[in-house]
This record gives sequence, C-alpha cells and structure tokens, in this order.
Amino acid sequence: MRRILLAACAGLAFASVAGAADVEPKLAITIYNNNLALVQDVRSMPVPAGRTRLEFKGVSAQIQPQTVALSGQGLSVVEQNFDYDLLTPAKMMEKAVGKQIKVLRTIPGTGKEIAETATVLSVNDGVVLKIGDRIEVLRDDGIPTRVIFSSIPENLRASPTLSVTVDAAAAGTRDVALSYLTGGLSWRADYVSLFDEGKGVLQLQGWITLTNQSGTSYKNVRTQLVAGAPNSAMAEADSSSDDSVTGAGTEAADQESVGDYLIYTLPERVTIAENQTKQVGFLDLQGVKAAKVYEYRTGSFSSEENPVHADVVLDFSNKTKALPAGTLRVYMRDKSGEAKFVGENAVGHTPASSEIALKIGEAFDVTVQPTLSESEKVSRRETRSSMSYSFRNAQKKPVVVELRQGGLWRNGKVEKESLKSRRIDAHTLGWSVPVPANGETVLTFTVDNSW
Amino acid sequence: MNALRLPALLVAGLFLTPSMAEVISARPDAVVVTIYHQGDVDTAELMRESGGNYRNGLAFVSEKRSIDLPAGESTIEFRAVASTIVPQTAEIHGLPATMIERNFDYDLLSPASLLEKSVGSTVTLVRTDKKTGKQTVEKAVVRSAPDGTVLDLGGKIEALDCSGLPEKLVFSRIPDGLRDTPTLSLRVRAPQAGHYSVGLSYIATGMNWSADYVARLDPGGKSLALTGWLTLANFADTGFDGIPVEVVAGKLMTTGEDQPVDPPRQIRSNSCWPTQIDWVTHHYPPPPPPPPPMMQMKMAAPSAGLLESVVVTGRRAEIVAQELGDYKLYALPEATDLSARRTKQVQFLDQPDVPFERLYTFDAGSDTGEGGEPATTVLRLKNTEAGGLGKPLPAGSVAVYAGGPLLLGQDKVHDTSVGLPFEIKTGAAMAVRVMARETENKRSGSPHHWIYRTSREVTILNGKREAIVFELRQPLYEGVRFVSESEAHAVKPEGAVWAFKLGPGEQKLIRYTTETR
Repeated sequence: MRRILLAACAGLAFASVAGAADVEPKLAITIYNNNLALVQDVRSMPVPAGRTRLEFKGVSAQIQPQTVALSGQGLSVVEQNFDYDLLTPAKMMEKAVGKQIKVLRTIPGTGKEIAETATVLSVNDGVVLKIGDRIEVLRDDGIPTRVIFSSIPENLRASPTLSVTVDAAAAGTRDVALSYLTGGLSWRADYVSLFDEGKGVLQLQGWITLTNQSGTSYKNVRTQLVAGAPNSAMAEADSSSDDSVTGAGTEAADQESVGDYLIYTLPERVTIAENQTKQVGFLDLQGVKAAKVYEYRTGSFSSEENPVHADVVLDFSNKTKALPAGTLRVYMRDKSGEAKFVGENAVGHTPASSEIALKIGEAFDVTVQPTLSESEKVSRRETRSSMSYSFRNAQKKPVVVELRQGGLWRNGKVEKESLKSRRIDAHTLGWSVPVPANGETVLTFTVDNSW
Repeated sequence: MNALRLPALLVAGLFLTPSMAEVISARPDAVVVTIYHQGDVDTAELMRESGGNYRNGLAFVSEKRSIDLPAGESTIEFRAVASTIVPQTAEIHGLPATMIERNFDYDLLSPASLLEKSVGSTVTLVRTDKKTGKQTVEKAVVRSAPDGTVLDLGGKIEALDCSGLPEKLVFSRIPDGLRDTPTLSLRVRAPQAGHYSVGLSYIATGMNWSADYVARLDPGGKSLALTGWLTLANFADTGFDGIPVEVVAGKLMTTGEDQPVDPPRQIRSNSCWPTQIDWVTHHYPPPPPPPPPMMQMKMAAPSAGLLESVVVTGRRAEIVAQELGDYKLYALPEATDLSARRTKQVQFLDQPDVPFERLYTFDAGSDTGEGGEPATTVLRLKNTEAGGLGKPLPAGSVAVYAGGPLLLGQDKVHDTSVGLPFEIKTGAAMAVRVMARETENKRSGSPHHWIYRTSREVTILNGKREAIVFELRQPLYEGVRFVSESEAHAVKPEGAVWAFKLGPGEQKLIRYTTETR
C-alpha cells in the first residue's frame, strides 16, 4: 500500500480550506457491471488565490485514488493525497512519541486524582513515559489512568480522506469537479417473466438492481448504468416505441447506446444508501410470443440406466429491446390462477431481435431413456452405432420432444432411422419426436461415424 | 395492520428530497409458502445439513397485505418478511401507484454502527466513580469510531474505554439510515389515497422438503403397501404459523444467485495504545462486542443451528398432485405451522396392494473371487394404475420392511412419472451367489488398430428354497461387440441382459466373449 503523507508537503506555504465537506456535492454516478463505478462529484467551494489544500470528505471508501481527476476554473493541481492513516487511540499514542501528554490517575480507595505532564519516550509493546525525572511505564500499576492529548495529528482521520493541493490563479467561489473510479457499486438486471402457456405469450419486466457496499451513501445522484464490457460489442438498440412496450407499473429508464455500450439513465435522481440494494424498473413488455419446448441434448452414443427428464426450454424473441445481463425468473399460474415460480436462468448481454432459449427446469412427466443397442467398429476409423431412444409422456396431452444427438464426426451419417432426422450442423442430428398422451414413442437409428 | 406515520417536514435544502409519507405494513394478512427441491433430496442429508448455516432450498412466499396509501409520493415499508428473503426477487402486485424504486436496506443498528454514524456529532460521556457511584457528565464530539473511539472533550482529546474507569457514551438520537432489521421498502407515487390489498411475493432460501416412502411387504410376498411422506424443513430464523403450504416436485433450474443478503457486521473495539500490561491489570476487561439485536434473538435457543423438533402429522389421506407448469404441486390439505428450525412430516401417498416382482441381479464386469458375491435383491414395480400405483412419485428415499419391523433395505427414489418402471434395490441376497471370472484377455491386430478380446464366465447359484428370477447385466459401450455367448442376451438400457429362472438349489453358467476395438 502506498503511504502518502501530507508531511511531504511540509514547508510549502498554503492555506487549507476547512469545511469543504459541508458543501452538499452534486453527484453523478455511472455504474458498470463489473463492480466498478465512475463518480463525478461537483462542489461549490471558495478557493483563495495561491496554493490551497482542498479536502473532500464523503468520497467512496473504496475510491481508487490513482484515478482521481480534479478540475475547476483557474485551478491547477499541484498534488493529490489520499490519507488512510485512520485515527485510533493507538495511533494517537504512536504519533505522540517525543511530545507531551497529560496523565490523570485516579487513586483507588480515595478517588483522588493526580494530574501530571509526561513526555512519551516510546510506544513499543507498551508506553514508556518520562514524568519529571522518573521513567515509568504507563499503567504499570493497574491504577485507572486517563491520557489526555491536546490535539489530533493532522493526518489522522476518521475515514480515508482525499485531499488535493491546487494552485488558484484568483480567489473566489467556483465549482470544483472531482471524478474517480470506485469499487463496491455494481448493478445487474433481474427479469420477471410471467409465461402463459395456453396463449403462447409472456410478459417481461426488467429491473435494474443496484448494490452499494462501497461504504458510503450517495445522495440525490444522477445515475447511469452501462451494460456491456469491452470486447462484447452490442448491437445498436432500437429505442423507438413499440405497441408492445407499455409503461404500466414501472417507470422505464431511458436507454441509449454509446459506442459499443448500452447506457440506461435513471429517470430521477436517487439516493443510493450504504448497504442497500435498489431496484428501478426499466422494461415492461407485454404479449411477447413465447413457446415451451421439451428438449434432450446429448453428445454421446450411450445408455442411461434410469430415464432422464427432458429439459423444459422457453423460447422467445426480444424484438424491440436489448437485454442487459442478469437473471430471468419465470412464473406460471397454478390451478387457482396464482403466479408461481417455475425456474430461472442467467441471460447474457443480449442485443435486440435475438432469439432466446432458456432452460428453466426439467419436465416431471416427459422422460427420455437412451439405449445403445449395438455398436461395431466397421473399420479402423469407422464405428457404426445403433441407438434406441424411448420417449415417455405421462401427460394428458401429446407432446413433441426435440432430440439433439451430438457426437458426429467426420463423414458421420445416418444409415437408417425410424423417424426422419435433420442435420442441425456437421456434428449434430435433430429429431422432433411426437409422443402421444400417456404414451411412449421409440426412436431407433443407426449412425456411421468416423474420424 | 398498518400504521401511517408522517414525519416532521424536513427543511428542503438544495438537493433534499421532498418530504415523504411513510407507510408501514407490519405483517401480512395471509401467506402461502411453496417449497421447491432441486433434484434428489435425502431426508437424512437434510437433517445432517441442518447443523450448519443451511441456506439451500428454495421457497416462493406469496403474501397478501393491506395498505393505506396517501396520495402523492410515499415510502411503503414491508415488515415481517422471511429473514432469508432474496430481495431482488420481490414483486408487488395490485398497487395502483407508480413505482419509483424498490429498496432493500441492511445498514443495521449495532453498537458499532451507532458509533460510526456518530462521528462528528456531539454525544454525552458519563463517567461513574467506582467507590461513590457519583457520575460525571461531559459533552464530547466523536472524532473517530468504531475501531477505537477518540473523543474531543472541549480541546482535550481522550480515548473511550482505555483508562480503566467505568465510562459510557449516551446518544441523543439514532443516526439516519440505521435499522433494526433488513427492510424491504417501495418508493411510490399514487394519484389518490386509498386502502389497497396488494400481493407481495418473493423467493426465500433455507426451506426444503423431501419425500420418503415406506414399503411393507405383504406376507404372501407378492404385493406391498406403499406409503409416502413429505418432510418439510424450515432452517430459517423466521417461521410461519397456520399457513397453507405447498411443495413442488420436479427439478427446477436455478442459477445459485438467489442468496439472502448477509449484512456486513462491524465490531466495536477500543484499540487502546499498545500495552499488554493494560489488559492484565484491567479490572474491567471490556466485554466482547454485543451482537446486534437481531442476532441475540436468533441465538436465544440453546440448540441454535440444530432443528429443535420434528413433528409428525398422521393423516390417512392422500394428496393429489396438481400441475404447475411441468412440475407436480402438492398442496397440504390443512394450514400448517412452518416453524423456524423445525421439520414436519405429512403423508401424501397411501397405496395398498401394489403387486411387485422380486428378482435378483448382478452387474458382471469385474471378478468376484472364488467365494463369489451375493446378488442384489430388486423389487420391480410398475408405476401404472394396472400395476396398482399410477401416481407421480417425487424423488427421495424408500425403506422396505417385511413382516413388521424387519428392515430389508433402503434405496434412493428418482422422480418417477406415471408409466415408468419403478425398481427398489433392497440389498444383498446372501442365498443367491454369483462367481464371475475372466477366462481370456488377448490383444491382437497392429498398433493403432488393436483388438482386445475378453472372455468371461459367470456362475449363478440359487441357494434358496424357492425358484427365483435372475438378471445378469453387462454394461455396453461404444465399440464393444459380442463375439460369442452361451445363450443370447437382450439389449436393455442397463446393457446386455440375460434373464432366466433358477429352481431351488439350481445353478447356471453363462459364458461370453466380447471384442473391443
């Protein structure tokens, strides 16, 4: 850790502006996904001409001091210090070596107080004092002893404090703008999606979730949130209004796109308190077309001793809005019409007009049981495998299960099959397998594979 | 019950927010808790995990609350939510107001935070004379805290709790923003005042459930009675009394991100000048910092960290599974107490006369040695109505009993939908022995084109007084081919299977040769 002490400036003649912290700063904060935020802090401060030390209290406790930049009319920065030598009784004593303190002892029994002036000789695993001609160890006799210091050393502070020494061309009150990066502030998106299976639509609400554990509260902040990280370019967002976009229930934040990032600006100034999770709505889409798909994906030709439950995948497309990364939670209505949680998954930064397929769980009543029925090496580099897949459906309605059989290599081809397959890509075959209500479908196929 | 509190008007400064009405929703009028389990949960494991700070398991809590909302901007505080709430999952329905923001504050009031937030304020220092009891009162400005408190007594700088004298600080008010408990609140703007019934729902952790089955074999040995029990467990510190509870069977996708907030804890210390002597001779060693009030409440029970009790509710009724998406939802028939740190069991399945077939199996593939190994006893049921069952069977465990209290064995149960085979392995059958050995192991061909040939001999001996059905299983892999076998096998998901009957005292030898390229 760097240790920057103001003592370095000793000898410089400068005035110090006290009470700078009492000025309520105008704050703007830009929060990134990766636990990083840019704080812009503008304070109106009287600055005398010449060299002055400006102190900024109430800055983030997780400030990255090397990123501090200060600007103000007619000000040039001489040096910046970040003091984190915290004020404690122990530190006070350490800084008092060679100086005089007052020692006040209370004699047990009589309650009589004896006050003496002492010089601190050393503070090493105990305090050695010189009182007149006597050398003593502080509180060696166990008698209650108060130690009274006459002042607090200048560079010991209750909280880490940023100070900047500036050179002002002329005296006068002006806006001083401070900006810095800090940790402890982060955001992500949380999506609430109510899926109506019968109608094949979902309702999608998005919340920006801000978390502040930076050790400082920020009052009345203009807040911007940046989605995206370097190297993950986002498509241009179409922010034009659409019929499916409504503002009901939530206040949608403005969304703009700058360079490769998406930026959301909160509509009102907010107070981001210490140890707080704050959520602001930014998205409310109704009637998004969505479908539920049963899926089983495998990359091998092998048997499963127990039936495996098919994945339940929710397919939908976000036509109008880009979705910043976060968690999407899906709800469905139960028999009585109450919305109940049915699963969640992570979504990455998703540009508008993307197709999204999210696994939300596994179907209790739809199972798949693969059996490797025959496998033979036809030649040195060629294997012929026969698979038998048993798809079972215990529901009162027929379903279709999407099988994705991966694991095909060079010259991989279907020799025979009981249902027509389609090639998804060079390595994957796809079957849409209809399974009757309360019934079973057996799919058999033979694949020639070589490498 | 709702209390409407209008704080005194604040002096609106340049950036101060306008004064806001505060509405407190003290408790829900009604709660429904839906408990999920992810994959196979074992009750024994559930009980074992309860010793720790158990936070797995997911529940969906759905509350009804009534709120008196004033017109204009206000803050609604929701009290008495589950302590394991995952705040970002909170949802409010039925509020005819614009939601500006939703906050979850966990800056908790504790001795340390009280001091920390008082830095720069004036407090009162009270010193008490140990002998006379006389108190000396002084005004002091807190200059630093809580890691060692430095006080400014009108130009005299002193430390708190370093002198060996009884002293304490008295505060005139609680600093803004400190709360007794983590609090969920909404900032809303309502067009008009009114009394509203709203729904609050959220995900909470620390609740879980498992299914346990008991199979009792009938004396005839042809059928069994199957009962199923749901075990509900609440490891959280808050309980719910007399509420409808539902459990959901099936595997839910979760991200692992749903965790309750762990409020950061600050410790107050005195950080006196470095001196060991100080502590040895200190007449009043400072007590360890008291935990925040919430924690004291939690630790009140001596068996903190352990479940206090298990309640078994006997019911002869079955719970019919409902559909929730692709899961099965079991609604408990009666309102129940989901008390903190407690498990509870409720019957959900009662199926007498379920026919079963007893068979003995052995997985060939490794040598058994000359003495052989016992076969595995398997009870084969069919989960269909014709098979005497035909009910969804949530994952859990099953215990099999014969003729009263004799435990035959225990096995895991996977989520089993209607129509699937249902097999229970009950354990080793001492009277049915299997000797398996390799009789040939050869490599032929050329480098890059090796052919491995393996021959095996398996002898099965039925030492029982009755005939048995036996299945010998040899797993199949890609590239494995049968060259010869003493009798034909069938291909099943378990692999190559030879199934046959063996009379009392009868034995059978199976030989086969496989080639792997």
